[in-house]
Amino acid sequence: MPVVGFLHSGSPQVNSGIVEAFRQGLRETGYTEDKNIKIEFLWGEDRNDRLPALAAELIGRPTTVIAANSVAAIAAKAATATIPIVFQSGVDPVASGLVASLGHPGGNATGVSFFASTLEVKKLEVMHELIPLAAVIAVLVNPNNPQAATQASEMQAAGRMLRRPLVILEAGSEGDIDAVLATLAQQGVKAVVVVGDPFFNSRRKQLIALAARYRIPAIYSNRENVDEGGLISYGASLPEAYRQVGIYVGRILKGAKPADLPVLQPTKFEMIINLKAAKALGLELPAALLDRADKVIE
Amino acid sequence: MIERAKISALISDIAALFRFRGRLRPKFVAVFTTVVCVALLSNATFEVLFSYQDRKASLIRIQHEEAEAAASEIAEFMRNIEEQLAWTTHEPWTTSTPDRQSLDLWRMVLRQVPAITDLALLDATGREQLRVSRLSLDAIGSQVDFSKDPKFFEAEIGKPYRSPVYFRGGSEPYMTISLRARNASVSAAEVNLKFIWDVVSRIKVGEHGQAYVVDARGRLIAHPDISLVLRNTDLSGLAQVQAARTDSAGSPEPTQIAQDTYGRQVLTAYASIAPLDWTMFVELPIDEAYAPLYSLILRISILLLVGLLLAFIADLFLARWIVQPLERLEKFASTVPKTKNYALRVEHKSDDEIGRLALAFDEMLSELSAARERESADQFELARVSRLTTMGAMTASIAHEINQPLAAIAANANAGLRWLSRATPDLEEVHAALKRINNDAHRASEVIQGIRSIFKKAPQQGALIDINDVVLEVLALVHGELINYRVSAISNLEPNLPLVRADRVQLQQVILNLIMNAVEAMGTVADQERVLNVASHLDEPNAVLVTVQDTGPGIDPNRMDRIFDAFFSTKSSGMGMGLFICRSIVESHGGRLWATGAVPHGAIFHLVLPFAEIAAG
Repeated sequence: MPVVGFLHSGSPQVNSGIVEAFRQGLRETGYTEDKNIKIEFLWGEDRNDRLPALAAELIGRPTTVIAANSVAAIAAKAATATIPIVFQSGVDPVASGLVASLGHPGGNATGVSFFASTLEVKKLEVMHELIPLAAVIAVLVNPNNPQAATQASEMQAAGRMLRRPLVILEAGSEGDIDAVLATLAQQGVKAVVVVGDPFFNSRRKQLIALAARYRIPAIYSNRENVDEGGLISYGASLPEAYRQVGIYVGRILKGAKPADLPVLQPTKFEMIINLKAAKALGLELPAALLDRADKVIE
Repeated sequence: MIERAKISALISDIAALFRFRGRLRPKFVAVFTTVVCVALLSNATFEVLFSYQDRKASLIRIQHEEAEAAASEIAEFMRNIEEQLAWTTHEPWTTSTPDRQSLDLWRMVLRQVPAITDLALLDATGREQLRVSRLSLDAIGSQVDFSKDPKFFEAEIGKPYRSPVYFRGGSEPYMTISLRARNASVSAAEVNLKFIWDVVSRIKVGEHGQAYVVDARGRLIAHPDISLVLRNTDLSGLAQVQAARTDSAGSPEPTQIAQDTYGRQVLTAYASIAPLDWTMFVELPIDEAYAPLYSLILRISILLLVGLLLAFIADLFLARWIVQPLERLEKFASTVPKTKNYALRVEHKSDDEIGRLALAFDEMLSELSAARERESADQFELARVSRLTTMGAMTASIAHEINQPLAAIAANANAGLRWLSRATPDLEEVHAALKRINNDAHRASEVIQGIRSIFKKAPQQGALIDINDVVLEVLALVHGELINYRVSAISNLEPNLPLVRADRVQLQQVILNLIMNAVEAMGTVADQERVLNVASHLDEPNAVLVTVQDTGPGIDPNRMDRIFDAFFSTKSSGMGMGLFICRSIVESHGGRLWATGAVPHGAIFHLVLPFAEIAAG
């Protein structure tokens, strides 16, 4: 029975949705867990420094295919050049060296690339629309993310284009998040853009709670945040991406070569707005924004 | 070649069956099965042939229709985008001084059309005044110059410019569509063609068939397997794509058989997607296309086998219904001549031809036995007439021979009397008359002696005869007469009796006479059982005894000695010569014939004949 290693930088508690979607994708290609396939789950528990060891552990076992999220995929790619890796990447897979090109990955890795980094400016644009022109907008980045610096500079450029004062805030741990968000009022921050990052996705409950406590509007990448009380999200569907990862793993198990499987990119980007959260913040949302929303949670 | 060899082998097999001689059933089964087999096979062949043609024709038609339908769906999809784009060529979208409200307006177009990733408003000079995007920042008044871009200078009012397909990031297929407004501004949209995937993956072509779209250069822009598109696959090498590209008129070509991107043999049909320079291909693997045909052949084969089996079983039953009764008839027909029992009947009850044949058989037998009865009656009549004629002629001749001397005696006696009654009797004359009378009396006596001597002097040239055979022959001869007189005959013939030497005809005459006498004697008895008992025994020491016993009135013991005399008869119509001649014949054979009375009544005639001297013969 083939063994699929599922390597993720986060924790299982907050990622049951994507795991289910991953299993769904496998089933669509004819693979059912414990029936004709085994899945080994390895979780980084938000400590990226553990990922190389976990990747090495997977490679040491008879693993047929590895499924991994962006940072975990980079760790896995560093550990093996032969075992196929299917990733869901929030960072640019070409820039991070996972694939040679989107159309022809060429190596042992392929997967789904989120435009997460390029969508950050669109999230900034939404917040820019929402709050008074002079107010400061904070961008929360994870310094442990290899692309944190790129993200920060892209956001600074966008801020200049919009003539919007920005402040880049870094939080790489639970304590950091608490500490950083506590300083928002002092810095005159009126809104927060939480960049797409697996760590922030893991800590979404904390972030949502703190945003509510400090009465700060925030925008996230994944709709799960809004479903759980966040104000707005803009981005592609993460579960859909993991379903696609499952399908790719299935195709590779059937003999496809990752080098020949092009990197998939989402085409549907959803804006979800939580009106309850807006009301709690005392925020009046522009009609134009509500019109553009794909879903409004009353 | 193998098929031909098989067929010729089959034909020679069938011919061998036809050559089979002697038995009806195998012939019948072979012919019938062959007929059914040929009928079924030709039917199957026609069906397969016609359904192959039908299937091919309908597949070609259906696939072409599918291609046309899919092409029009893609065209509809693109037209929808262009219609949405056309909205933006009217007020208030075409404002020369865009502001936040304009931005919201243009963003709504993105909301409406998911396939448009970027949308821009270029002013009359080709400078970008507004841009909304799903991926990058929206912008107002960027003034970027697109005047040298075909999306600006080729766009016309009411006639959209459609760029060649390009692959963003080397992967995702895109095209630009732009349209000019009345105020000379241009709306330009970047369209993500991955959305066509939704359309082509919805098109179901059988189980494993697919629909895909290639652009004017032969590059794949839509395929159910999106990864082929994202790999920027060039299909211009495929035969069907080349054929479609050279067929500029876009006239419907018949579906061809070609190889697809996976190297499978497929039935392929295409339709051009107006007004784009794209071509829609619809392909179905050959194996799948003809799968119904294969299952049809399988079904027909099974039907053929079942039909043959049924035909074979039906043959066996049919043969049974015909052959078994025929065999019974045959056996019956050979039994009748063996047993000589003409009272047998087939008694096969059915209303078919065999039943009628059996009925005809029975009728024929009835007619035959009736004819035999009539014939034997005639034969007896004949025998009796011939016997009577012989006897009559003999008697007449005897009477004539005897009458002459008697007449002479009477005349001489008369003359003598007259000579005596004269006044003077002439004794000389009387003496002479008496002498003549004496002479004539001697003559008469000689006649009688002569008759006896006819038989006595019959030369002993008889054959060796089994007396039982003669008895049976005579009994058969009188069969009709026995029935007429309602006499039942019993024969107790001792088998393997020694042979006697005798004249067969004379012996027949004797036994016939004895039996007819017995039968006629019993004819006068009204109230008693009429039984004729004929028996034969070995009579020691060297003779055979035949007795003929009746239950008639019997013979008066006083007359017992006289019945064998000439001219003695107890019958009113008899001449009285029968038993006399019989005794003469028997004695001429060295035997004896006598009669005794039977108990309680009737008469027994005993006939004894000596064995033949075999050694001497």
